[in-house]
Amino acid sequence: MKEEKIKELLKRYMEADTTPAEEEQLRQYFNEEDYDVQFAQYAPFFIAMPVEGNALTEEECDEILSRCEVSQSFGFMLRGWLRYVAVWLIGIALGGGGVWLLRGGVSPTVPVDVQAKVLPVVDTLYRERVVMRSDTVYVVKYKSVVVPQPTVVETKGMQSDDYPLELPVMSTETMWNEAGNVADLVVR
Amino acid sequence: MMTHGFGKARFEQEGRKIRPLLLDVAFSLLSGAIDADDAVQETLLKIWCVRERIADDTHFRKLAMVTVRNVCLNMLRDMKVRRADTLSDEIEISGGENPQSIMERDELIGRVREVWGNLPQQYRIILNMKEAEHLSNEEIASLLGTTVANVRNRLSRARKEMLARMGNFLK
Repeated sequence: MKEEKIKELLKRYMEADTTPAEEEQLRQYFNEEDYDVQFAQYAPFFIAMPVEGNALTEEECDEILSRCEVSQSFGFMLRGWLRYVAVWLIGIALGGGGVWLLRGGVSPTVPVDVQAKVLPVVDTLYRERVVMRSDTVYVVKYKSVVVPQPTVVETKGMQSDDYPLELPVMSTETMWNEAGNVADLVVR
Repeated sequence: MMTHGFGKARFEQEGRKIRPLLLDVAFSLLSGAIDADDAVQETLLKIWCVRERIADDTHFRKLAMVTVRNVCLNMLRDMKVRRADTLSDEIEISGGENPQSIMERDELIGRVREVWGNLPQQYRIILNMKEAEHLSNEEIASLLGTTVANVRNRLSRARKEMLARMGNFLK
């Protein structure tokens, strides 16, 4: 193949502008012909690329997946809290007054005589704010519950009313206020 | 763990659904400092590589949310140390003053593998999608929820980065 043609194809190849047929031409040129030494630096693309089933190693894939397993356990815990709130709200709707949460380790709620309009928690928001100090990145996390219409939610001794739209489920002193060196958290 | 894995069509479908949320997260974390779209694409590229081990849609969504967060935090950390992209937009195709000799194929393959192993994950993934999985630019754009022009740009950067690293290696 003529030198000028190869030059032009290689230029477009590096711009990712070649068609599959043109790339096949280049592949044939570098594999079957004694290619010109001036193009030697491009030879690896066509005769030596270590393309395998997966671009990432097994360890890299494990690392990507392992982060999700950690979050899944958090997610499970959070869903547990939402269930507590939902159960409590349903208890009020049934006119039972108070609903005692029986799961181990959870303190019972205080009976409430207000007939609240019971609505499901529709969304849980996880907000994160990044704060950079020098070379360290801190991630501050917040969690809140969104309810679509007026309701009463009691959490950790706090009682909110008067049409809250977004309520903090836990105080910021508890597990959702994390600020630490993100070096341990970041996956490379 | 028993997994069903995600085929191309399912990956595309779920990726399209979650992409707005991923962009939201990326925007809030990056504060416009770096292109959030880039972060989301890198996220989907990583998940593409582990798609065989994804159990279901819920797992996909959770994995995507966690991964985009980590990708953004990595980008913020790397901002300080990332060198400026000194690769020129136009590649000068020429032999140069000292043309490199043609290496033995086995030796070349060995050297290239070493360079490949040190290439950033996102570059390896997109090169693999083209060379091993034989996906077209259009198919990759559809998987990542982006434009063909964007895919070409990303692929071009990957090839130029590999060329630069091999150039240093092969001199």
